[in-house]
Amino acid sequence: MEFQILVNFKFLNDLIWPPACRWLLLLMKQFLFYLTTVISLLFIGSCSSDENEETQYSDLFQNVADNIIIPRYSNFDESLSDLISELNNFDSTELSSLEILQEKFINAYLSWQKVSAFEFGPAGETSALLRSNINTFPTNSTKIESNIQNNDYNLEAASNFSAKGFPALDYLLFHTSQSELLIELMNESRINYMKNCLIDMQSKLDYVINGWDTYRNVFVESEGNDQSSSLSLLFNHFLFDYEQLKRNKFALPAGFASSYGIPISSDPSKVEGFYSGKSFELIYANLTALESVFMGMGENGVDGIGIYEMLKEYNAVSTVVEGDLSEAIANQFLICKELVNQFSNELAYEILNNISQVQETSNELQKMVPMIKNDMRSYFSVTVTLGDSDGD
Amino acid sequence: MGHLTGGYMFNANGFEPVQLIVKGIMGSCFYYQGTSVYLSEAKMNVDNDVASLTSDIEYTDMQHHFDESFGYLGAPIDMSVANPDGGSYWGKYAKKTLVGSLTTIDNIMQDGFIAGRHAINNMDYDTRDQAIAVIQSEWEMIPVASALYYLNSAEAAIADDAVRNHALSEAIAFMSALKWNSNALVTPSQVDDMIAMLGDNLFNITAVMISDTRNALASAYGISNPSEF
Repeated sequence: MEFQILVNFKFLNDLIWPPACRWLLLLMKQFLFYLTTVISLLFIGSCSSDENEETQYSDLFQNVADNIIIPRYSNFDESLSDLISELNNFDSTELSSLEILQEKFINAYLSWQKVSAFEFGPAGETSALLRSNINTFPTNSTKIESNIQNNDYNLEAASNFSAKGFPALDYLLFHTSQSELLIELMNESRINYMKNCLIDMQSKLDYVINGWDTYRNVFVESEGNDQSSSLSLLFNHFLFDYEQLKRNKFALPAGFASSYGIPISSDPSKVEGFYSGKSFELIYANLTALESVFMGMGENGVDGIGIYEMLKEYNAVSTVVEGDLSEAIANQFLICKELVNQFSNELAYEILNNISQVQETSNELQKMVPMIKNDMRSYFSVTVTLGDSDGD
Repeated sequence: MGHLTGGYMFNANGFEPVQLIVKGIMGSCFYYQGTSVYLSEAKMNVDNDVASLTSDIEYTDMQHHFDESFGYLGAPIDMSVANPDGGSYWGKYAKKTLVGSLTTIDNIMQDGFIAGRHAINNMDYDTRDQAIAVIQSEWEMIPVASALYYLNSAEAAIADDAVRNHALSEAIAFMSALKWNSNALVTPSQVDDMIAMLGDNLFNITAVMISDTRNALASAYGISNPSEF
């Protein structure tokens, strides 16, 4: 627009206006130049603000809340209840009873992987703090044993967070052979300890599920991109959960992580699900859960509005690999899932015996981080609020 | 007996001496000097013969004392809500007020130090005293906001002994600082009571203890969004 007007003026300048009027023309030209510049700027300005207003996230929030978060919490609740009733019926004289109990434990632990990314709203409140209460690993077996022996413990005390939740049950249900476990579990105080852990977990989960009854509308109706907006919360906890997976579940036990710049040496006992040896299954479930939030895939199997669709709307481009950001992230999920699936032994074993393949997988898991943390974040215009402390 | 956990050094009950010392000095020295010594009547009831100054680099005793107070804030002269960076000590922690959407930085700079210095230059002591009251009450919000921030960090990292105990030690030190303002909104015994809510062993603390302390501190200062800090 601006260019065209100036060209027209040049044409007028040369052909029509007599030299005597040139001074006037110059003034007008200058005036018009400023005018068009101002108009152009206003136009650009209003364009971008219109775009922000036009980009509606409520469809995303609605799909994520109604078809992903709420049904996942309800599935998790169901699998936790199954585990509790199995524990209540446990018969330490029957191997099959232990096997079913172990199986229900794995089911519940896998089910947890689908909700760990939603540590905002009710899940992040004092009464829930789900991630800390339910999945603090590695677990502290010494603490667990001393709690059981003393039969005097407060599971709410900070020092007991590493002695409860799934990692504590993982220890109590898998740390030795099934025949020895059956003998051990004749001890009522061990069963009671597991029951108390499960009651603790279920009470926190109940709080969250009840909380979503009212929080659902708050979440869906949220606007804007400030730190308390649903956009920022969903993004930040998606990123945080992914980074937990990449670092604490994988790179840290494998010896690829560092703290304050100091490398941390490999320690296979730090993997998630160390005693049951289910690390890869848990990681795979976690990855799939994040992938379907990204794709907008509901628990009912309906592919709705996800982050994928929102980035498409922005025509978002990846800075990590060539091309479309939505496709790049979707593809990276596939690559990571395939690599995680390729191992034939449990993660702790692979760290000790197959470090090059572990390294390759770690590299691909890492590759996703800038796609989310830089690229996705910049299209959503949110800031990273979770993560490293300020270092002082 | 001490613990070296996650790069921090704690005593046997989980308190981190370095935070109690460094932030302790920020409270008992910088904050005390800034809010309660250099703005006190003794320091303000001094020569202010502005007319006798012959150059820009000269200053009266009163101007000097007032500028000393500003020095203890550790803020750049143009710090604002929109431009909060570049401070040190209290000037650095002032940014924690932004997380809770407080306008502390603009208030303490515009209505406090800038208005107060201008009033002194004009020998307008009523306006000066109003500005001093603003400085004292707004500065107080920096340790409050910092303590709320660290209590929230501690709750979020409750399962991590190192991060939690570090954050709690920071919070305790910032709450202790509140005692060093002669015009504080809370009394020293109220501060002690709030700190005592955290118990005497940070390894045994619960999320509810942290959140109760946070809520007590917030309600003492009329803050309705403590979990946003």
